[in-house]
This record gives sequence, C-alpha cells and structure tokens, in this order.
Amino acid sequence: MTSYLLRRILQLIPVLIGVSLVIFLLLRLIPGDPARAFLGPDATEQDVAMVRSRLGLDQPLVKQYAKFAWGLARGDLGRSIRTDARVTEELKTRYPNTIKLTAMAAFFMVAIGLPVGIISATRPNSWLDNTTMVLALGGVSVPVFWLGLMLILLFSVKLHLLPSGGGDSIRHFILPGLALGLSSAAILARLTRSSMLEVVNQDYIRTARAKGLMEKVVINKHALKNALIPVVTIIGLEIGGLLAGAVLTETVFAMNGLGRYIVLAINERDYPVVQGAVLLLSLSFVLVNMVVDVLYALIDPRIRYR
Amino acid sequence: MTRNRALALILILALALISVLSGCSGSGGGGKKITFALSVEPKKLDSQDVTDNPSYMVNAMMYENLVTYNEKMELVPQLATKWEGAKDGMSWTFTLRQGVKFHDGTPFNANAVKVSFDRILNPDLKLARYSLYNAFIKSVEVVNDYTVKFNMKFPFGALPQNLAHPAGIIHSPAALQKYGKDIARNPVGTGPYKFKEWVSGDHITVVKNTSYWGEKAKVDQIVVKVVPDANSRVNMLETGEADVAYPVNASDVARLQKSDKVGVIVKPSNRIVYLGINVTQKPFDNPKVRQAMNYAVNKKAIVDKILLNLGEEQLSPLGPNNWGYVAQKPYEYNPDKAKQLLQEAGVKPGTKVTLWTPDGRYLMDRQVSEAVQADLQAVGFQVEFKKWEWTTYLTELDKLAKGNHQLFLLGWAPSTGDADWGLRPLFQTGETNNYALYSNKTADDLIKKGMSATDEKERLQTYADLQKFLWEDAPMIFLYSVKQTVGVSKKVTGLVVHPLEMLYFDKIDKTK
Amino acid sequence: MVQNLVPSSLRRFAKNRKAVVGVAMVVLYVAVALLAPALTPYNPTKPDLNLALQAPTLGHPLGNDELGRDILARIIYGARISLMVGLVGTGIALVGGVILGSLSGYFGGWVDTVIMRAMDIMLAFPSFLLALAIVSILGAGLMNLMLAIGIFSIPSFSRVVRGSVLSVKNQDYVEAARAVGLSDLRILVAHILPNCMAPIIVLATMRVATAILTASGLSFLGLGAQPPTPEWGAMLSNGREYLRAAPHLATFPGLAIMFGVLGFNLFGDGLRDALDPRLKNR
Repeated sequence: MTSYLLRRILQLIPVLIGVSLVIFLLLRLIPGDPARAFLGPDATEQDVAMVRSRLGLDQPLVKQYAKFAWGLARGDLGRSIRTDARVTEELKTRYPNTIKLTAMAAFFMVAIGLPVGIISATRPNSWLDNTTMVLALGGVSVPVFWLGLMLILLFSVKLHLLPSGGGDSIRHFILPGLALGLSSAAILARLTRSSMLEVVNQDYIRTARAKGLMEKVVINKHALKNALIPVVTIIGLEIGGLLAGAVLTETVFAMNGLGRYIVLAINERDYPVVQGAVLLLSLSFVLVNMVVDVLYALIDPRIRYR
Repeated sequence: MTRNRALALILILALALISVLSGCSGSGGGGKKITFALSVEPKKLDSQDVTDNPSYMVNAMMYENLVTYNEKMELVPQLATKWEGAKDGMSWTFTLRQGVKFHDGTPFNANAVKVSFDRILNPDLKLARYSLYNAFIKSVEVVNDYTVKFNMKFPFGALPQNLAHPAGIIHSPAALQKYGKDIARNPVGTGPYKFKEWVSGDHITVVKNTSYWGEKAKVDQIVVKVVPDANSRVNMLETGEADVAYPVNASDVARLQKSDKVGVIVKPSNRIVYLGINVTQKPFDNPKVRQAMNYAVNKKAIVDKILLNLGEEQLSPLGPNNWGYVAQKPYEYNPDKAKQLLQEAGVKPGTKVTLWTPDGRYLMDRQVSEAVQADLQAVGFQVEFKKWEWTTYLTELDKLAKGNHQLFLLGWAPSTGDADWGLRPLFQTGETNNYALYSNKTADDLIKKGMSATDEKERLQTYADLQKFLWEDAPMIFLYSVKQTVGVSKKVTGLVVHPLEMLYFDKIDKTK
Repeated sequence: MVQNLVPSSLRRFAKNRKAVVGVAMVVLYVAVALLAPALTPYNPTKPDLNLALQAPTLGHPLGNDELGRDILARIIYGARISLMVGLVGTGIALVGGVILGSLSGYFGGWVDTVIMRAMDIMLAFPSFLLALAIVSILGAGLMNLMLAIGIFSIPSFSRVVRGSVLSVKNQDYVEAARAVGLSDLRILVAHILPNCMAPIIVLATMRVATAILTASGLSFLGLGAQPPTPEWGAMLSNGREYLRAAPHLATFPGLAIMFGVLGFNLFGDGLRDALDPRLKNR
C-alpha cells in the first residue's frame, strides 16, 4: 500500500512539470502586456518599459521559465505582478473558499444524486423513474452560471432568504454550492441508477432472488454494495469536475476563490498568479483522482496494488 | 441496513462539510464600524507604485500629502502649512506642519519628505509613478527640520497641484527601511486611520488613529470589502451588511432612491468617455467627416436610455469639473446634416470603418459603442465592431506606429483636475494618450501657451480658445461625461464623493 | 455486421420515448436556426433605444434588451450561432480526435505513448480553464470560440477512438486485410474505423451538448462572438447588470441554452441505448 501510494505520488511529478510548462507557455501566448495591464492607459511607454524590466519580462523565455521552475522546486511561486504580494500568500486566502464551495457542491451532489438514483433503479421504467431521469438530464443541461443567476434572483433578490455569495459564513455557500452541485447530482443519479440496474441483472442477484430473498434485502444487501463501486469513482471524478466548475460559479457569485481569481489574473496578465493557481488547481484535481483510485481499491477487493 | 450505510455516507459528508465550513472567521471588534463594499480590490497600499483609483482611495485613509484638493477642487494645506514658489519658477519651498507623527511613532519632518520623494525619484526602484515627478523635479532639499525645498528641472508653476496627486504621499522613513518591498502590504502614514489587516481578495481593515494631528476620525474602523458583483453590493447595502457601496448599477439607482433605508449619491466626475478618431486615416483626416460623425450620433438618447442619466452629454474636449472648463455649443443630433456633410467630403455610402471598444471598463462602454455603431450605419458607414479584452486593448493601442485603428472608445480623467492635463495628453503632437495621432499647429501652440503662462486670466482665455478650436476640429466623437454613483446607508454622514473619482472617509460618521 | 446494426438500432431508438423527444427538440432547434428570418419581423442587431429594457409585451413577447432589441428575435437568430458553434466545434474535435486516437490505438508503441501523455496533460487541466486559455490566446470571436471548443474536446474523442480501435484491430478480418497486404492507412480507414463508429457517434452527439454549454460559458465571460451578434451566453451576461430592474434579459437566453443542450443530450442518450446497449455510462 505504502509503496503503491509512493509510486502514484512520484507519477504526479512529470504531469505537474508538464502542466507548469504548458501553462507557462500558454500564458505568454495570450496577447497583452502585463506591465501595461498593471499601469493602465495613462502611463507612458517609457513607464511600461521600466515596469517590464522590473518584472523581468524583458528576459528570454528560457530564463524566465528556469526562474519559475527553480522557485517551484523550493515551494516559492514568486510575487504577484498586480499586488507584489507573495503568490503563496494570495492563494492562501482563496484556496479554502474553493475547497468549501467544492465540499458544499459535493454534499448536494451526493445528498440529491445518490437517493434519486437508488429510488429510480428500484422502479425501472416507471413513471417516477422516467420523470426523474428526464429531470436529471435537464440538470446536466443547465448552464451553471444561469442557474446561479436564477437562484440569486429567487432566493436572494425576491425572497431575501439567502445571501448571494461572497461571504464567509456557511449561508453564503449554500446557493453557489447548489448551483455548482446540481448538474453533478444529475450525473450521479443517472449513473447510480444504471449501475444498480446492471448489477440487478447479474447472475448472483438472480440467484439471490431465486433463493426467495425479499426484494428489499436483495436491493440493499447485494445490489447496492456492488453498484456503489462505479458510483464512488464517479463521485471522485465529479469532485474534480466541481473544482473546474468553480471558475464560472465563483464568477457568478463573486466569491473570493481560486477560480475567479484565475480569471481575474488572466485578465490582468498576472503570470505568476495564474501559474501558481492553475498548478494548485491541477494538483488538487490529480490528487482527488488518486484518492478515488485508492478508495476504489479499498472497496473492490478484486483490485490489488501492484 | 445498507440504506443506513448510504445514509451514514451522507451524514459523514455533511459532518465533514460543516467542519470545513465552520473554520470561518468572524470579524469582531466593538465600536463604530463602517463597511465599504468596493467593486475592485486595491492593487497595493503604496500610492507611489500604483495607478488605480481603488488603491488611491484606501491609501488616502492612511496617508497624507503636503497639499491636497478639497471638494471644490481648491488646493488646501495638509502636511505643509504654506508654500511659495521662487520668482524664476525654478524651485518651491514648503513649510511643514509640526508635531505630526507617523503611525509607527516616527516624527514627521523634512527628512521624511525627502526620503519619500527620493524613493519615487529613484530610477533603480522603477516605481509605477516614477515618471510623474521625474518629469520636472530635479532634487529635494532639507532646509531645516520643518522646511523643504523642491528644485525644478525647468520653470514649473504647477508643482503644488502635482503634489496633491495621490502619488505625492509621505511614507514613514522608518517603515520604508523596515519593510522594504513589502511596504505595500504594511503601509505606515500620518493619516486619520491606521492599517490593521489585509486579507487578500476579501477585505482590508483600517482603524482609527487616536493620535491623529487633526480632527480625529469619528468611526473606530473601516472595513473595505471587495465585492465585485454589483447585485451583491446593492444587496449588502439593503440588508445593512454594508454602509457604503461603490459603484452602483445604473439600473438600480431609481429603485434605491425610493428606499427609506438607503440613498444614492450621484455626483459628477471629471471623466469624459469619448470615441477617438485616428485622424491620420482617410476619410477621417477631413474635419468635415469628423463633424458629420458628431452630428450622426444621438448623444441625448445615449445619455437618457443607456446611461439612464448617470452621465451628461460631453460639451467640451475637456471634462467638466476641471479647472478652465468651458461648455461649447452642442452638435445636435441631425443625421441628414451628417449625410450632407459626408457627401460634401466625398465619402461614399458603404465606406468601411472599424470601431474598437472595451467592455465593462467605463460606465456602459460596450452598450454605448453598439448604439454608436447603429447611428453611424444609419448615415451610410459600414461599421465593423470589435470588442477587446481590456489588457489586449491597451497593448494594441500601444502599437500606434502601425496606426491601423480607426475609431476607439476610451475615457480620460485628468488626475490633477486641471485643463493642462485634461487636454495636453490627448491632443498635443506625440503625447502619450494621443491615440488619435492628432497633430495640429494651432492646438500645439495654444497648449504650449497655456502651460507656460503664469497669469491666471491669460491661462483661462488660452484654454477657452483651445477648447473652442478642438471642439470644431473634432478629433473625436464627443460622447459623455460620467457621474459617480455611491450607495449609502441613511445612517451614514460625512462621506465625501470627490470629482476626481475618489471617496474620502476622514469625516464619515454613522448613527445607531 | 454494420448492415444489420442499423435497422435493429432504429427500432430500439424509435421505441425510446425520451430519444424521440430529444430528436424532436433538436429538429425544432435546427429549424429555428435555419428559418430565423421567417420567424421574426425584427432585426436582432438593430438598437431601438426607445424600447430599451422594456418588459415583455404582446409585440415583444420576451421583452427588449438594454438597447431595445427584441429578445425573441435575438434568441431565434442566436440559435444559428450556438448550433454552428456546437457543430463546428465538435467537428473539429471529431477530426482531431479520430486522427490522434486511431494513430495511437493502431500503431501503439511510442506513438501511443506520446499522444496519450499529451492528452493526459490536457486532461490534468481543469477542462474549462483550458478552453478559456485557448480562447484568450486566440482572442474573442466566433471562429476562435469554435476552435477553442474543438481543441478542448480532442482528448475525450481521442481516448474513445483509441479504445475502440484497440478492441477492433486484432480481429480476424483486420488480420485478413493485413495478410492481403493492404496499407496501414487503408486498413485503418476502410476496415477499422467503420467498426468503431457507434461509440464515436454517441460521443459526438453528447459533445455537441457540451460544446454549446461550454461556448455559452465562455461568452458569459466575454470571450464569445463580437457584439452585436446575438449570442445566448453573451446576452445572459449582459442581462446580469439588469438582474433586478429587468430580469427578463438574463432569464430567457438561459432557457434557450438549456433547451438546445437538453435536446442533444436526450438525442445522444437515446442513440447510445440504441447503438450500443452496453455503453450505459457517460
């Protein structure tokens, strides 16, 4: 187990190096000068040139990347162009919000998706099943930013029940979490259902039924347990997706999270910030996938760590 | 049984969620507190090294200049008590206020002034506002503890006005030494509030400076909360979560004005938003064509229907609320006259032009550009529309040598509130913000005359002539000037909304 | 086997009510896009400031936007844009994914390693951010939007194609073709790919939905087509500023996006059940 984990972690390194290189290059391909973004329209071209040299942007790209990579190796992400603060400091205040948002969304995903999927599967092709599945597909089809706006309009503007985001307390995370988690809940519901149905049609369930076990026992004891295996995988994958979905959700709800920060930093051409934030997000993403793999192995005894 | 397990899973998740979320901090502290919901986070709390207004605004709570502008745009003393220019205009001497201390206890004196200006004038530090003062200040000299002398590179009459610029702040020399590069996150000034904390992307807190030299602050702390979404800002105002919200959406103003709990302060600024014309390109090299375009655009409709009256029709190349402003006779909306002028100038219907615009940078910029596009198409132009992302736009405008731009929307607000800075950067040959590539002997002469004139009457007359000339030569489609909208709780008094797009909090108070 | 797949699938498909609804929605959507000028008397791009922000009326059933343009007309013409983005974007991804995936699956070895590692890196990026980065590089505009959507969908296509190619390439008829001396290209194009079509078609249909959704997200962030092009995501984004005073600006474009995406999702779902009953999961 330990050596398996170790190997998995070591495998992360080339992927992260790849990500760091790709984001470094992508950023520099985006037109627009960070120094000009910092100084605004009033500054003279001499000012812009001066700030460029202060930021080291007049150096060759290889040198810039080497500096970035060397810092990275020591856990130093450099300083924000926009604020001159350490990128690690800037990320420290934002990352927890993204995690909270993702946690809230994951909660809604599981709390809605799992029961709906199970109930649907126990009555396949019934009226209830068909309706919920169409609704679920609807859930996948809603643009998250629109859903967010509509939730704001309803709960915040019209009913004054919940704040529209951008705060610290748990209440501020309810609407964004719901907006973000709903489409994942829909995906989870569909998957739970199909996974259960697949299991139900397998031999050992038929055997269990033939033995005359009560339907409830069959479903609960035999079907659900085995159906949960792919469900756990999809939960993990969706949590990864939720992290990415944070970009739009945080923008709509104007939350102080990593996603909106990345958009802001791209607009300001704050290279060190985008690099650091994207790396952090990718790392979280890959780590979640890793945890899922491990969980998967724990649940399913057929998989062994080689 | 297994259903219970599913339930347990949900429960565990819920618990995990609560434990994650409960790690949130509440901001405590007693006394009077003002919460200020601001759309954009300041970049740095060091006005010498930024160019953005949110930074200036928060910085001004903690820092002071030698002189400053009051609400009526008059120059008044701050850390200097009086000042005098040499006869030849080559130097200025300032007498400093005595008994002032920085927040860290360092005494304020001539040395502090010299250290601060030496810092901004140090070419090695490459501070964002380096060129502002380097343009005319040769050196700063300590005459005695409370007298300081600025030596000019050439006779320069507008030094006091320029020292009132936000970048003219005085830092604590001890703090500069202590924090070095990190001063922007650890500001130490002489102002009515002291820095407390800055949580990136979330809020900045300042607290009352109990040993302030002047009239002390009436509230104990101000929390500047970063709230980028306009709907959230207004919500917070209405629920009492915020006391001041800036800016407020135009479409929300009417509703807020009817509220009994909150109000909206609508104040003119000195900013104009204009549609620049690259005058080096055909057919725009012909003033007739430029005038025609001014007749073609329905500015009144733009102000009424798009700006919802939160702007005013632009009536001079210089923004209102600037020293020397003279309103001109408007180009009335007259598409027929426009067509006729275009015909006289030999512009064929269907002539292709491109219109560049930012989106969301100035009040309703993109919407206005779309309306202008339609108006220009109505008189026969074929307008290709291009919306730019702001940074790309600025960088693209920098490549002026290529000169492939034609019409472009931009704003201009002279930070000195003076006609010289309101007109020179836009219209003098080769100046930095002269994106129109405008070059005209008459205009250049008048600009030079206004700059070197020492007699106020002569200056006023010169700028009046200049405005009239530019108005008729029309190197831009004159659009609108911007009003500022600040949402304020009815409990709040003493907030100053300054024409230079600044909010001042030193006299703010709040009733229970 | 391709021959008798079609009729039985068709039957299965026609029996699936959800799928039929999906097809109906997609047909309606395409029809609206094609017939746009016949469906509304209004010009979707011409401002009429006198009607700015007007709430829904009989003449303008969905109201008017901030420049007084008829929102219904803009939604109708917007169908063209979003359909085009969905189809062209997916088309680009399809072509790129089929080429990369089949090369990877067919040749294996270092070709496979290089291509799949590159795909891994692309997938390690939060997907939306990748599209965002690409469109930021290319600049806002319809063409660039479609390109970004296409590039960002390539990894998922190439993975599916690779998997199918792997499962087919060692079958007898391929071996036979190889024995006769047919060229690799010929084998790939004439013998392997046709037998991988089912999952590719299903994925493509689903990805049209994803493409429309992602494109609207990018337009929402201001990276879509140039104004005054009626584009749903951009309309929604503009409506945000008037959420309280005129909520209809943001509401209706969102419904339109949802309708289009749902149609393609239902359609793809039905196709999957019909073409390949084993492929249950997304």
